[in-house]
Amino acid sequence: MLKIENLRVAVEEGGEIVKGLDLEVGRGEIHAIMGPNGSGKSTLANALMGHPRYEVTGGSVTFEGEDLLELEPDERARLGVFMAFQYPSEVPGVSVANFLRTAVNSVREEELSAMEMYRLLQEKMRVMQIDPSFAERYLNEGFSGGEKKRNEILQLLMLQPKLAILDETDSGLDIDALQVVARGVNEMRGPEFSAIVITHYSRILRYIEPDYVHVMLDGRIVTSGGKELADELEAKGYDWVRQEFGAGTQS
Amino acid sequence: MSTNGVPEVLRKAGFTSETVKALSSYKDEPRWLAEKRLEAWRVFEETPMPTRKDEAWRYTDISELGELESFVPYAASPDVTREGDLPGAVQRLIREGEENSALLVQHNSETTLRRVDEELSSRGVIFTDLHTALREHEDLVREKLFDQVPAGYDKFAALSAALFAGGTFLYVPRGVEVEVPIQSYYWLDVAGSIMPRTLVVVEEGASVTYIDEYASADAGEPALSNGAVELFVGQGASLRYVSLQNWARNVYHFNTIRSAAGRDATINSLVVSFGATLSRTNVEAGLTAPGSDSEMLGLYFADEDQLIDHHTLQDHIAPSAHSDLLYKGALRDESRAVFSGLIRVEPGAQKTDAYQTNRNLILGTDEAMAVSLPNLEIMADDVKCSHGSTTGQVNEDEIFYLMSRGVPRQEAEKLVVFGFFGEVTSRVPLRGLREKLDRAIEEKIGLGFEERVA
Ligand SMILES: Nc1ncnc2c1ncn2[C@@H]1O[C@H](COP(=O)(O)OP(=O)(O)OP(=O)(O)O)[C@@H](O)[C@H]1O
Ligand SMILES: [Mg+2]
Repeated sequence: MLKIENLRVAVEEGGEIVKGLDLEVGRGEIHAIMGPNGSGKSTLANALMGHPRYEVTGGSVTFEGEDLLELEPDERARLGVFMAFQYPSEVPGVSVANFLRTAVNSVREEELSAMEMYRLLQEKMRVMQIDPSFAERYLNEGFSGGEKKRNEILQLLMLQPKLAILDETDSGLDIDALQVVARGVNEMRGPEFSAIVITHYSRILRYIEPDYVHVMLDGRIVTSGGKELADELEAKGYDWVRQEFGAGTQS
Repeated sequence: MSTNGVPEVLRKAGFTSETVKALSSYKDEPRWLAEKRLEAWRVFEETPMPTRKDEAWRYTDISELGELESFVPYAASPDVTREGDLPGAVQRLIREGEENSALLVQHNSETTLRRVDEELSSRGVIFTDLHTALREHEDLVREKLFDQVPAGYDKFAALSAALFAGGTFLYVPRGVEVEVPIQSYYWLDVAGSIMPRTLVVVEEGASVTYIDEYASADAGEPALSNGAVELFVGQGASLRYVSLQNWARNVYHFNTIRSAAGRDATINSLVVSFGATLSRTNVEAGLTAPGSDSEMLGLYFADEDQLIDHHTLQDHIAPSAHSDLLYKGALRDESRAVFSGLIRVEPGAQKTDAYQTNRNLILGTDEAMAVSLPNLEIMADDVKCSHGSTTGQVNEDEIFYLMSRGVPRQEAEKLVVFGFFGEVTSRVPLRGLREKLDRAIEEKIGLGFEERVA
């Protein structure tokens, strides 16, 4: 469903960050991407979502046969692509409820009535154990780190995408919150839902079991495996990866 | 237009002392007023036109306006007997406005319609144009007229005192609480000038919401709106005052709004500036008695080559008073905005609590410019004061965040701009007005402000 071929992404001040990356994600599959700080994981995620500051300088990305790179971020979202941000923006003056109403009605073919919207939001907030009062709070403004992450997964549940890219959604969560977030993602799991889970820790992968684990180093995926690769990485560290697959072995 | 009886000299371009005299006698005014007008005229003549060398006009160039004297001083109005006779556009303003218990329409220089709910009249509320008020309630008017905005305030105030016409007088007697807002509309559809003047007196323990709304049909040629607003709020009384300026782009708008507050009185003002080619509004809250409280809200949205200027003063004269100012504006295209705000705490005004914030949002352009000049002048030692100002572009990360959830750019921009203004509008408990503001903001946003390839 998602096919990335030889993708290159540059940022204005940092030069080329993603340096020829290949990845294929099939329907219903969960892929984990691990890799050291600065290896380009968030850059990849942002480029897939269409952030204007990340310039695609080469390669291709197709999603269900469509050229994703041609589309605006909102069009990608309407195709069913979703990204949970590593650092979600705060949007003053825009309430969570108002924002979600606008967003849900933008991605759906048919608008939900106010009542249906209200029920849906209540239900999903319950799943995410978010207090109903958050509906009237301004989007992410003054949210704690963990609340922001839960709010990201709330949006995932409201929008029901086909592909979710979760960029370190597990970082900064306490043990309970981690389970809540994992439960939220697992509620989406099924033959029609795929995900790319970017993480530094194998812990979340015990709750959200991946079909594949990829290791990213310096803008490329250098090795891939099953879920046992996550444990191996955690045990051996990135130096092991660098030695085995480090710069120069692939070009 | 019925020009019946309007003296020839009032219909010709050019203000002179003859114009002032002719207006006084046309309106059959009492002598004291005729003299005050002439005195004001002398002040007007002696006061030079402000230039950018004057501190208060440093960032607002009015040289293109030319001589004020060159405008036609007076524009007659059509005859109206019922609401259905008003211009369609005015009827729409009324329909789309706040629900009201009393209504006044000034069309050009004359008041053409007045409606006051029986219930208000029976409780002694007076709501009428200034000329009628001068005839029927001379003592009430005489005591307060020109007291807050005297001829000596500046050249525009002098002109207003000399040549005001139409205008509004609102008097709420002691203890009377008016639940439903009272509204004046000022409509201009000729090139020339309109000089409305508002005088509001809210007696002890009374309360009222009053709205001045300015709108016009573009007459092509430049027009001048020169207003003065005087607000008196008695002990323990409360006034919510709204000024909504949405003139067409041929209008140069000058207005000075000043208030005096009695002991424990509350004044909430909202000054909205959307229209005119150049709009200069002075808003001065006098915290003149202990325990008085003034909330000052401002909202503006400049586009194309508009210049929107607010000069505000929180004048703490009495101790233990509170004032809180928040002015927020958006700018697009090549527009300019000026905000100059001063908190002044006079010696002896101890226990003053005063806040001032100005925020500007620049929308998708490098050409627009906001000047923000917050100022404090504190001559007492036991006070709490703060001020702040920010000017910035719309945050692209916020827009991307919203778009990544499926919201198209235009909608995302709208959400962010409405979110920005929400901090002001959410503080105004007037639903009809808020909807009107939302519509005006939406119109200003139009198809969005991101530079697009044609
Ligand atoms: N907008 C930007 N401007 C300049 N440099 C950038 C920008 N975005 C990313 N970079 C640089 O690109 C590199 C990769 O950043 P990226 O955020 O993709 O890493 P990451 O793998 O997500 O790291 P982490 O695990 O710390 O989140 C870093 O060196 C970073 O400083
Ligand atoms: Mg990252």
